[in-house]
Amino acid sequence: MSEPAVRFRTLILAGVLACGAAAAVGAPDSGWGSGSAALSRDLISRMSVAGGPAADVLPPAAGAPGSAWGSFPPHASVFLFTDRVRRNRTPKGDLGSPPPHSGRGIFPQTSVEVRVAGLDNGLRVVAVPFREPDTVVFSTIVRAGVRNEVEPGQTGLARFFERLVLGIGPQVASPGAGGEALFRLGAQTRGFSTEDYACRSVLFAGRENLEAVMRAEAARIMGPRDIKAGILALAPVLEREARTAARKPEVRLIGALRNAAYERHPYRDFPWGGLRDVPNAPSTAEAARTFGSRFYTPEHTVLLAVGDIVPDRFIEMARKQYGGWVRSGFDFQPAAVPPQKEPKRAHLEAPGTTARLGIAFLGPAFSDSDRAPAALDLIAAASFSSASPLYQKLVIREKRCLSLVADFHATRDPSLLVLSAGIKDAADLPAVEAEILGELERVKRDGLTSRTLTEAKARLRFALAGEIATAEGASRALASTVGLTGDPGSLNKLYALIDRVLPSDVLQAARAYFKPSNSTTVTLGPLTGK
Amino acid sequence: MSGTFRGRRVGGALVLALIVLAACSVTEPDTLGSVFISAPDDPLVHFRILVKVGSANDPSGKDGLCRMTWDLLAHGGTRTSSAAEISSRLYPLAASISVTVDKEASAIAADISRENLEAFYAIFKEKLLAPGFAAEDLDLLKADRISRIEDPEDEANLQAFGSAILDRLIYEGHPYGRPSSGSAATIAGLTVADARVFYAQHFVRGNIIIGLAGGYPPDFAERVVADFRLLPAGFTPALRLPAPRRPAGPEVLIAEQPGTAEAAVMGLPLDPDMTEEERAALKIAGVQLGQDPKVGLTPDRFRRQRIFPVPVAAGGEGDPIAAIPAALDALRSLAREGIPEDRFELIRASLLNAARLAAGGAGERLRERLDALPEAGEPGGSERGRVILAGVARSEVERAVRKYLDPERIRIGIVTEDAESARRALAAIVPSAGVRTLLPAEIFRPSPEIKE
Repeated sequence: MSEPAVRFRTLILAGVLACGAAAAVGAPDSGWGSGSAALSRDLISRMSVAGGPAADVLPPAAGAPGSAWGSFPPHASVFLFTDRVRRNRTPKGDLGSPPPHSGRGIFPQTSVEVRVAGLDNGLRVVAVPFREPDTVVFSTIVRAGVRNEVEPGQTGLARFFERLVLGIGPQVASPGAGGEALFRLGAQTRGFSTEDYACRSVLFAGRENLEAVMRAEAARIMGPRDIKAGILALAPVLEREARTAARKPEVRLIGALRNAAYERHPYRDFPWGGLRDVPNAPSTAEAARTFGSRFYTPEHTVLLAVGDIVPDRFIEMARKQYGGWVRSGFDFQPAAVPPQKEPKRAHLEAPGTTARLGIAFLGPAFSDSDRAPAALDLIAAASFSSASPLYQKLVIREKRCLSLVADFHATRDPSLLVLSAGIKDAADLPAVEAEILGELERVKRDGLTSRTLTEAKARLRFALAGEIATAEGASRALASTVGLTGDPGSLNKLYALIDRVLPSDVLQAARAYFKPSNSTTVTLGPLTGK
Repeated sequence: MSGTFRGRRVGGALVLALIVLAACSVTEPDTLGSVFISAPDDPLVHFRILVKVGSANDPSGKDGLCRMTWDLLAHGGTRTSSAAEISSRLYPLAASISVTVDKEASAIAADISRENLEAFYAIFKEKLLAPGFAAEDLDLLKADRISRIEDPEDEANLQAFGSAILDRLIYEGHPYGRPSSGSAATIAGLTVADARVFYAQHFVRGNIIIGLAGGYPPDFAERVVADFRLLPAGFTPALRLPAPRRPAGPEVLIAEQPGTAEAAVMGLPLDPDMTEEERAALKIAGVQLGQDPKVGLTPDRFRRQRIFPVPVAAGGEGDPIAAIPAALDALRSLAREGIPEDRFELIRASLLNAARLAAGGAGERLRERLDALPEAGEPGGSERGRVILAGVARSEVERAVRKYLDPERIRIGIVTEDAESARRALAAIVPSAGVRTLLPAEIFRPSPEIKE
């Protein structure tokens, strides 16, 4: 399910994404008003990821036909958790640009040499030996999600496939087909999905069991699928889940923000709104078959093993188990997110519930090379954390808010930066909104102090340290960036990038994105007269 | 290549480096206990301060006081710094302190990057040994707890809510029958003086076991012990626990709360005197019924008495009350027909393999050693548990099921927004059950742990 993933990414990569982009940078706006006035300054959002591997399809191995992305080395290494990148065997690799600077890495004392291989069919294989005796986490990351639902009649197919093929449900991934083999091993299955990718992981003991796990997992993703029966069985389940989720005020709020901000882009349907077509099983079966044959294919998939493994043996096993998987060669064209030109606003009536406020800013896509997203991430960490002056005022001292959260959602297409608050008294909605916007104006005017910036960087860095202390945590952290870029080196680049953000970057990013014309505001609660 | 890890070789080195420096069992009741697991390659240091008192030690009429007192230590200010000041000092360290409170014990825990160990420990020590007990901190925590208890939208803890209702049903008149988090009414009545008194009475040397694991420097453990030795002497006597009552037939307790999603939780109290072999046999039975293999049936410091949960609607989908008949049928079938040989072998193999995973990192080993009862034998329960599990025979599973899991004495806890409909549905499912509905004022709802 999406929620754990969202939480995870918020914790680890908090804001890591969003906002790259050559945006119109100018003096701070001051026209927040009530949200009705349309300010005309455009945000120029970018569709590509600056300098990063934004390829939709993973590059095939060197010499393989059908590559629009250049060649990918059959074997390469990257030192994870440091900023040192080493190429192995093939000098013209696609593992990312050379490190911008050498020296101290993110966590040099715990660096890990990662092996990466590309199979002829486009499948990418990432091996991460990790200090945790006897523990292995094997993950299948399919880089397809609602983002790929660009044609009519396709809404809900990504979620359907996540459930049917990867077993990703509301809480955990179910063992499903091949389940007995995994059950015998005492394996635990996990899963999460985002707008852009889905990740299924199997956690088990003993490197000697890796081949059996891979055999079961290969059969699951490469084996025959009864789409019609799957739809008949799963459509009611998915519908029920969507209905249950839709009762939750926080889901309603986020859903309304996405619907308004993304309008016609498939992201509007994540995570629960995109099930319109699934219940119509007979006419959807063909669309489902098409979706599966296009995206549940090797060129959209990354295999990741973290833990007590022998990298070369893992790569060889992947070749043996997955080498016969046939690529689709489908040329996917993602939908564009048009620049937002005016403020948007909506109110959801919800008597008897806690009042809620959500303010979203449309930013650029995930990048591991553009400082703007990292700068916005740091603003969120500094200005809206529980230690921030605004939080201390609204939540702790005045007790007007029950919660105050900043959430950057890492996506391949332009991302939303969402500031949300639970408000004790609905009458306080306008005042709390003014406080949040006031804080953003302050950042646009003054930026962040050097000390605040340093502390926010430390916060993000040590939050990652806590996460990657176990094989399972390291696997999740890696999957979250591999799902976005296909590149295990992205995690390093990202944290190196965060480390390089300057106060001037913060000012520039704040002024570029915190504009009324770029905002969507949704309130939820009793009618407030707005 | 220096400073990098190299798979197995380093993994092996870690095993060798994982040195258990001490596992000091407490021989005198007012002696400070300690468990240290040094793992020099671990980039984190894991703190787990176990306090041998829990919600069952709450004074009468002050349910939730234990939890509130430890929350004040973890999330409040100190004698010299306000909560806000401490929050800003912890922020760049990415440190959070968690509090776990169960019936007979509590744990205050934190994981911290070893780069930040000194800065963090200065704060952690001050919080635990010189708490401020500021009225404003208490007010904030009370408001937070009460809003979570009263907010029907908070579904994250729905299953825990159901389990608390089941606890209440099974342990009525027993020290475990008290709500761990308190009710809105009892929390509202808690005062700073209550917390100060509870801290003075119970945060004493004999109640505390210091747990430390991971990549801490050589002299660090001694420093921590020296600091905590400054606490006053004393200990809280262990509670005298009666056996849970055994009603003649099934029982149902319904908690009605407007706007809530529905939950159904079933279980049976385990006999406190059962053998380890019988518990291992019931573990296999539980998995056959759909229990999560991680469900704990073994007594530990938090609970010397345990419940056998009977899973309802595994996977969490659908109408929970409608799923009760299938769950009861599965239990009846297990009691009547036993477990097929191939299934028994499969489950046992699965549990034995899963136990290898459980013995993972230093933090997990610390938790396991610290939480185990001293009478459970040599610390490191998973190895001992594996040996016992490996020796269990299929006939023992069937015998244990017939002896301890009587479907006709099942207890069912229900959370619903429509008690009358639930009552009607249950009358058809378990006609012989005694059904009671909690009055709104009697309902307590557990609230999630607070994190910085």
